[in-house]
Amino acid sequence: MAIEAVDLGFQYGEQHIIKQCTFKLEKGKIYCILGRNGSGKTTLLKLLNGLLKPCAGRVLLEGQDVQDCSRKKLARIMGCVPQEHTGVFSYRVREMVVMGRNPHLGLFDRPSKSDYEIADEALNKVGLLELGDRSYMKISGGERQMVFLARAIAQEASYFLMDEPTSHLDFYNQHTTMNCLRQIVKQQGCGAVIAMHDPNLTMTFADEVLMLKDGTVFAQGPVDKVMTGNNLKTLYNMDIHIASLPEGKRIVVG
Amino acid sequence: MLKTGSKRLISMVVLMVFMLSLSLVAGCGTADQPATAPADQPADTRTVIDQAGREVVLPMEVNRIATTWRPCTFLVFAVGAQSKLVGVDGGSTSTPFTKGVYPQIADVPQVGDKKHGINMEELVAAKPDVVCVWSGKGSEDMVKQLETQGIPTLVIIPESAEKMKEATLLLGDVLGCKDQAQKVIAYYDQVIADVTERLKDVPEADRKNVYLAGAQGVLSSCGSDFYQHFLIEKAGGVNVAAAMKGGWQNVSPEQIVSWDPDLIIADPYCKEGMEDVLKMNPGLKGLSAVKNNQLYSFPAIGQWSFPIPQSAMGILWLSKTMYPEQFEDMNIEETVNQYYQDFFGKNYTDLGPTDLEGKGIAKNINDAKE
Amino acid sequence: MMPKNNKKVGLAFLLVVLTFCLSLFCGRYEIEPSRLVQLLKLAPAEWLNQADASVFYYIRLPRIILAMLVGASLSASGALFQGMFRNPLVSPDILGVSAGCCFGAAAGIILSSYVAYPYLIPLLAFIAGIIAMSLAYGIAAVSRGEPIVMLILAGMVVGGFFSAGLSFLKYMADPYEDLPAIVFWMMGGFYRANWDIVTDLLVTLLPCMILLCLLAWKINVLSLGDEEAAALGVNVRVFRLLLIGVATFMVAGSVSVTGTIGWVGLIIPHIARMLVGSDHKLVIPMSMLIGGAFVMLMDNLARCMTTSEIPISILTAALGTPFFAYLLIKGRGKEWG
Repeated sequence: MAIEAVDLGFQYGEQHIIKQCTFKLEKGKIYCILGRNGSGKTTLLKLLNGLLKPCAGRVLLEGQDVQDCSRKKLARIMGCVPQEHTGVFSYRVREMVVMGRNPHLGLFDRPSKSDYEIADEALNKVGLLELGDRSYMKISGGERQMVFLARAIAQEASYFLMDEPTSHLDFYNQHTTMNCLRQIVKQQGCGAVIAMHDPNLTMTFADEVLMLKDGTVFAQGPVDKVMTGNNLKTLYNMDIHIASLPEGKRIVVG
Repeated sequence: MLKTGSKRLISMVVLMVFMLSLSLVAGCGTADQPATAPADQPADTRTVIDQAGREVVLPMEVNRIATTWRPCTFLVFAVGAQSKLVGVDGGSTSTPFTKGVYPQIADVPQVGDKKHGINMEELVAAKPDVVCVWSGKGSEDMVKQLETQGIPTLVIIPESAEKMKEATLLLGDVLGCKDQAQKVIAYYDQVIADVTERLKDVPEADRKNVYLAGAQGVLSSCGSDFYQHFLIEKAGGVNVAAAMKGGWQNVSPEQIVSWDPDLIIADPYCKEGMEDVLKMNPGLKGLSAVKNNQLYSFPAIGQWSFPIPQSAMGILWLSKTMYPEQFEDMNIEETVNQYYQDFFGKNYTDLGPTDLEGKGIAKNINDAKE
Repeated sequence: MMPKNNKKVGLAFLLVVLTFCLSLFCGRYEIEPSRLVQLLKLAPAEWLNQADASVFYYIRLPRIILAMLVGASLSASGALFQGMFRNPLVSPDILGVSAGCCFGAAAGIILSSYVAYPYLIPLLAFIAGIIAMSLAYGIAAVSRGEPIVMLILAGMVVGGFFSAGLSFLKYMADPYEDLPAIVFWMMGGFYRANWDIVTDLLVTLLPCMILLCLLAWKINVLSLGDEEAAALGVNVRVFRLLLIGVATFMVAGSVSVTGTIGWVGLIIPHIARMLVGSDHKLVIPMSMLIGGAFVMLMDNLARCMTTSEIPISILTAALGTPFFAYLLIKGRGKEWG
């Protein structure tokens, strides 16, 4: 199963946010969408998830337009990890994670014991099982991001859609979160689509990269091929150098 | 999202309509409601027609009556049956008039009133033979509850002079005080006739324009649909606000200036002093009534502006205040005291500070005028 | 954690039962406790034959049940609206339902001169409440913007419109018959209780309450915000419309027979949240139970403190707000994080 964007376009009034985007996302890979602020990364994710209705083109899931899918079906295929969450009610971490079971439950159902077990398992995978009874509003930003990841895992979705999951995290937490994600993607063979700010994290964790500029994808492909100095220069409109480190790693320097 | 939603949306609407109709059906089912009170021996009962036109079956002799609003309580006093009160509206146990005339009223339970609701259990516990309720509206539930307890209700609506007389006679009949009821009404008619007679030589052009300051303060008044309007007319005055509708309404200072009344009379419920009003609205200082010191308050005791027989004293007082020359021979204090002696067995002036001069509203007026 | 919270719900249920039993013994009409026990065994056919039995069965009992029902439904709909609108300051009046009910009742009072139907006033109040909600929802649906903000603004607009309509009706009303009746109706209270009203309300409110309890867990998901809820598989528009419909039935049903009763729908959900945390599948039933008990208690005071009746809204505000303040200080709002 793959997610395909065909000639996708979206506009607010006269302003084109996304124009003629065509790409295919497959399972088992981590896709990073790179782009400057306002380049349309978040909008693209919302289009993929059917939260926004495209003005042109389509998003296809196994050939079916996501606009024709029920929310429930979409939620079984795509799990979202929000950038940050401004909550009002302080649910316990376990309650938060078990909400990921919603697409598997009927209108009048409540999470059963097995749903809670799945939630605990997901918490275990992100290493936060012991936080289960804490209020999710009283844990650190990094932990909260992991809780949302756990929720997406409990959702048993084939794809994770993540909107800048690392932007509020410190260096250590950025790497823990991304490592954890990579492990899960590889273990379960699902896909991840991540809107990303940091080219270095992209270089380290992504399998494939989509570069988004002014609403269009101007470069896409495997990370080694796309993350070139020239592409990055065009993307960010500034001088950029790529330095190779002895172990074979490469870093981007402005 | 929309397409799949719309189908379910329709089913939701259907569900709601279904539930609504269910509740309607339940509303129509009144099967478990008792039709009437358990019947007593018919020989001891009689049927009267109350002011809503309902047939009410009452015990031949009514010895216990409960009232649920103030004017009605006063009507019971008017026919001299206050000793039969077993429940009164909230507050009626402590007005200077009720307390002064019938001190035992302090021990009569208050059963609530139409401003705050009726305490039904208290009312039933008082074991009244009949309960007086205000107009049919808003009291249906109460009437219904009392029906289940076998307690008849009497609707009393004394909203005009005629209706007031009718109400007084009805209560007199029900309470076995026909004579007193007829006497008090006869006196009421006589006062009105006397006032008309005294004023017959006052030409139309010299009739006084009156502004009645009302319950919401000096800047409120009432039009021709309230009993107070009738009071002013019968006292020989002209209500400047006659064109207004809907009971007590607020009035703009400009409107009062354009009316420029000869007198400003404050209802007993008007708690505002004229001096404060003048401070806030200096424009009113030019009113003829203010310049000529024609500012008066109704004497506070006895609710003389209520639709009750006592309001005869209100008419008399108002007329004398407007046309002192026509009443030079009358000592208002003596007349009022005589009336209260005759009907309530007490001097009016013994009931408390009475202020027959009616200076309440203008007490500190000179401070404001400077 | 879970068993502890279930125990709390059990205790709250016990509280309701105890309050109900206590309420049976409260009233201005004196009935000896021993006599009361006898009365409880009386066959329905006997209810009207004895003075104290008819007071107990036709005045006291329906009133207690009415207070419990209204308390439960106002509190539950308050909890629902707070969760749905993600705003702890929201009360059940938010969509103009109460204002609509008051307008409908006033119209019913005026029309009752021409239409002889005994339940005209509550019926029109109920319908006007539903219309008010539909208007608010409709305005929000066709306006562009954040749906929740639009709903709240539309609710204010509709509420204001119906309040103006009410003022106009009061202005036009006959000052002797209609106006006092309207003022009397607005005040709110349970003194109108009779079995017809109670059965009507039971039929209207009980399905709503059950439905709400069944849907309670989903409110958690909805309270995360529209987009997150949608991403978690909730059809937000349909689900929110369903919930608003249920809550409107509950509020309109309550208000149309008892008038507006303030504070209950705002405070009780907070108390419930302080006791069992934020999880709506506990908050909703807990709100119903505490709300039912609270309003029964307040009405006991309204009935029994003085010989006259104390308006219920004064009591709910005067006793509810300090208690709420105490909880705020003591709990330091811990459940809001």
